[in-house]
Amino acid sequence: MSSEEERLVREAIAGNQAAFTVLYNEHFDKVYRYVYFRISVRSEAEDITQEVFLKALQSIGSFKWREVPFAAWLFRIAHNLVIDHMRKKSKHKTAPLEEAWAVSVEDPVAMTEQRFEMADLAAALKRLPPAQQEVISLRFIAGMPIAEVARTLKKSEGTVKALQFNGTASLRKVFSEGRNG
Amino acid sequence: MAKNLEQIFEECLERVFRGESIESCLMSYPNEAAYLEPLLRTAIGVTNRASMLQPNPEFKARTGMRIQAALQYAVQQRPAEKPSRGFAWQKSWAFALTAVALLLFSSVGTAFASSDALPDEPLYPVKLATEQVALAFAFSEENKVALHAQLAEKRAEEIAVMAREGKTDYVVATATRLSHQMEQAEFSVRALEMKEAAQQASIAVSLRKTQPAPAMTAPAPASTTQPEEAAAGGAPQAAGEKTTPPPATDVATAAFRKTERARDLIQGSTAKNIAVLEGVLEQAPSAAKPALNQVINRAKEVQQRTIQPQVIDGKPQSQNGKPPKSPPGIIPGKPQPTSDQPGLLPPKSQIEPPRPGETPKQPLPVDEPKPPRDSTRPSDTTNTQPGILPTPVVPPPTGTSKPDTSRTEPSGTTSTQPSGSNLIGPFGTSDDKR
Repeated sequence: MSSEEERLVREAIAGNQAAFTVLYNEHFDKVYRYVYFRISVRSEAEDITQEVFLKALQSIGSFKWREVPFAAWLFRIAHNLVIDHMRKKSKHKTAPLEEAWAVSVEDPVAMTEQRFEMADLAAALKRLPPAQQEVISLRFIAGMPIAEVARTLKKSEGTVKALQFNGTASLRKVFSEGRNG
Repeated sequence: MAKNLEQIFEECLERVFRGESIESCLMSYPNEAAYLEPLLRTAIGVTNRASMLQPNPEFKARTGMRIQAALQYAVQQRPAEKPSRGFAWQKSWAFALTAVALLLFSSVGTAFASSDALPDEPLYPVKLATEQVALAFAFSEENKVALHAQLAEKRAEEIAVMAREGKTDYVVATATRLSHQMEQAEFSVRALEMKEAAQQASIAVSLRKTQPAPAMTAPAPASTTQPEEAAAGGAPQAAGEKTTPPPATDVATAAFRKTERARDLIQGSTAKNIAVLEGVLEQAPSAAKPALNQVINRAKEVQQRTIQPQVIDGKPQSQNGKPPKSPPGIIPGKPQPTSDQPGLLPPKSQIEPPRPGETPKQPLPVDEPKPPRDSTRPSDTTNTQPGILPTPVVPPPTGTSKPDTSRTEPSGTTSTQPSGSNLIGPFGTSDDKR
């Protein structure tokens, strides 16, 4: 954690609203992307992202900056909420990916274009084993360094590197199959 | 100890994220290069593709306000003062009203303060949300076209600034927004064309009922015919003789002119955007160039498609690539409209619907090497991510995060642009909606 982030986290813990806001602005997009690619449904991803920050605000007092970087702590919250959501979701039928995109309020043409790219990527990720999915999502989508991914997932750096390598090879295979088939 | 493939892969990834090229890293590991290169390209492709996903600015703004309210609530709760039971409900109401007032006023201020925000500044999402509100209140298609064109020009300038500053991530994200904006503008032009076509078709039908025979055999003195006459299908009149065209024809003429104006606006605006983007292409970091080229091509496609009406007679109308000055579909035998006059279209049933979704999709090159967003991000956490929380928590963009003068005038087009606050002004309701 950089000294600037450490200062912000300390101030946020002490109740400084501005400090929490800076942290929020810094991590919002990455958390959203991570959640979206794990969930694949936009409206649900928005709900969970909001919940991540409300939960972070609620429990920032319990954050120990010496143990994990703030990003790792935040993504740990996101990861837990995603897992809870998936558990609940597996018990209920949910909207398919296409339908979820179709309800977007944004420009329909652009959404259609992005839909294919994002849906391709989300679908490819879904075909990986869960451990590889988690590493690829945190490393390439949330943009976390390998050490933070390891801390977030409570795995060794060596294990994360292996999962990253194998996950990338699997993704490449999935994309190649998509192109050929 | 020799490094294994996983370690070399991670090392190369880190080096590429920091701005080095894939080739340069692989030169350090020639034996593993053939195996690692496709994997590195896949990883970078995934990173780039994912970074195109941006949260909806309205959602981000909403969440920011909710967090802000929660923060204020937490601060209020801090002095653990237990109120007497009798006043508890009054206190909660007072808090709710205060929070609403705070949010409302801070939103107004933030919206105005955000009008010049750049994509890497905290208030940028507020600016985007404000623009969406302005668009929601642009009720006519004509206003929508004008606003989309304005916003597209703003996006192009933002891209130019981000490209000059080497902020690849923001260039890619803003380029996506620019594409959306241009296509939205095109949509509005198509909607105007549809309206025009429907009006002309109904007039054509009514004229056929009233004056079919003489018109079919009459010669077409195009050079002397007044627009109203042409549209009404009447005989040429003597010079100086003034007639009042039927009201329906006026409506059709007005619709035609609206559509022409909208097309001209899009043409001019898109040409300006292409010039701005092409002007900055050389200075842009190499990783941003594919996105820039893509958006330039997209702009050229939009420009090409809006040269001429698409909703005409079921056939593309092109005259050596130049826009036709009069719409076809004129009833045979009627006086021909002159170069800037409206013509008549066939009945609605013959009109081909617009095809706004025709944009050929260019799949994102997953295997194309592009350094990911984080490699170009500055380390200052206050400036790296756009944020949405209202003041006072986020510092205004005019201070440390504001660029220098050269940054605010990409390609000399800024002077012709309205300020961001102008977007709110004419509609005047962005803050009310909030």
